[in-house]
Amino acid sequence: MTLEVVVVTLIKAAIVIGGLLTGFAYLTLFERKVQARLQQRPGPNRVGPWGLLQPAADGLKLFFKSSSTPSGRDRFLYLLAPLISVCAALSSFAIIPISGPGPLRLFGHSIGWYVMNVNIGVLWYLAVTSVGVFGIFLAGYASNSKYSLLGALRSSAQMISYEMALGLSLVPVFILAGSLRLVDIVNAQHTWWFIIPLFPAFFLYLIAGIAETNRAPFDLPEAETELVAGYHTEYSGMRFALFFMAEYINMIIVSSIATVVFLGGWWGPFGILPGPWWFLLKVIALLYVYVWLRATLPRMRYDRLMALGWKSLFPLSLAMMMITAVVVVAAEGTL
Amino acid sequence: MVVGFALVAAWELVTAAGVVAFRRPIHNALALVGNMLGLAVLFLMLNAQFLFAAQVIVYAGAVMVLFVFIIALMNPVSDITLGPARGGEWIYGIVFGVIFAALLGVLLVNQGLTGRSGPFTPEVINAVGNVQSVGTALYTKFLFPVEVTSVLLLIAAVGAVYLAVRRIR
Repeated sequence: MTLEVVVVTLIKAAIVIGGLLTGFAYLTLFERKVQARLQQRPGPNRVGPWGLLQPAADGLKLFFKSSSTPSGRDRFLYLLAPLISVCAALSSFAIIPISGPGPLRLFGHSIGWYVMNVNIGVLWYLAVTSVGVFGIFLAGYASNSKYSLLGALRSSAQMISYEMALGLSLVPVFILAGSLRLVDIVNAQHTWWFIIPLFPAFFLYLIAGIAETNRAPFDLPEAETELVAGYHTEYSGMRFALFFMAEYINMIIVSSIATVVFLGGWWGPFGILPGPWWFLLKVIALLYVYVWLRATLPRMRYDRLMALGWKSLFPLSLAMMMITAVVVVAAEGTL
Repeated sequence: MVVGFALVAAWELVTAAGVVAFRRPIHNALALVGNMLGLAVLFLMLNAQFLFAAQVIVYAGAVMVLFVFIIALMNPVSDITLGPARGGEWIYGIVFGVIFAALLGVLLVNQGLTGRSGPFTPEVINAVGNVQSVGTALYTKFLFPVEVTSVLLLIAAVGAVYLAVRRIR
């Protein structure tokens, strides 16, 4: 661990955090615009050309709002919860390679297109999200409010249940690529993207990912019609904005992981466009699916949601894992 | 490395004290979460990245979430009054504390007390890959213990289901 490594990693982390925060701001605009078009409305169009300055206006508004706090809250946990959510969301992007295949040459240094290339790869993401559950749960607990607590209980049950399917749906990819490193996984998709042999796994991952980020139609933790706003009912101003930020950044991360793991990451057909652009295009396409689903599907009932997770997604992803393993071993001729 | 270890060790001591010292059960549970995360960092410093991930996912992420879940559901703040400790607790505490301190003392005196280094040196593991070497060891050499443990867990799960279903009837 030389000084150079530390400095380069810190600079990369700063760039990634800046990129994610900008991405979050414009994702909110993207969502509102796309949803508006799907519902035959113009969407935000007053602040700046095509409403492009709307995120800045929203940010300023949230920043200058006074933060009201519930009485009888757990003071420390009430402040800690949004921080856990945001830190977990931001740090899980660290493993994602944006481009490749080789490192970037800059000022005589070779710099990889990722913050870190750890050999546990996707497990880092699973570990960080499993800690991120605490953010939502503690927010609900510390608020001293019935709605918040119910939202928090729902969300942690939902996130724990779908984390199983999420993790298992990625295992076929590890079996095919023979590695957990995301860089190796993308390089293994040079000729065939993994979505082609593993389409069922991709589909399972997408469903589990949407449930994991608490987005519609699985947004039970903040179901407005029953729970006011769920776990963040008692949060306002910047503290609310942190939860909002964590949710949108998690959407970006689930889309990025799907891009890297199933959609060939930076590889694009015919060699047109450099790698980072392909990565960005694929992530935006997946984010569009998120928004599209929200504008299309009504919210599920809670017991249906848990049944779907445990009785359908979990066994299906287990089956997918076993089938892939058997096929790979058979293809290697050792069966 | 030494400074890092000292920091993590201090964190471990503080959170371990928090587990027994806080007055509200949810704070005790969260101190335990902090302790497990610190343990994961120690694994990381020992070059065991897979154990780090497993520790965080299984203990901090799954087991402790359920602990916290149940504490929040029961909300035992008003039920437990710590009050003045009874004599018995102090005696047990002192006896086990002395035993543990003696063990630590033995370790401190014999600082050369390290295990024999096996075939898995950091170089070998980095060449094969951390996850790969753990997986190979678990599913070849230690296959029988792994399977026995999984059967044990299965029995626990079946027992839990049985208790839950009997309750509903």
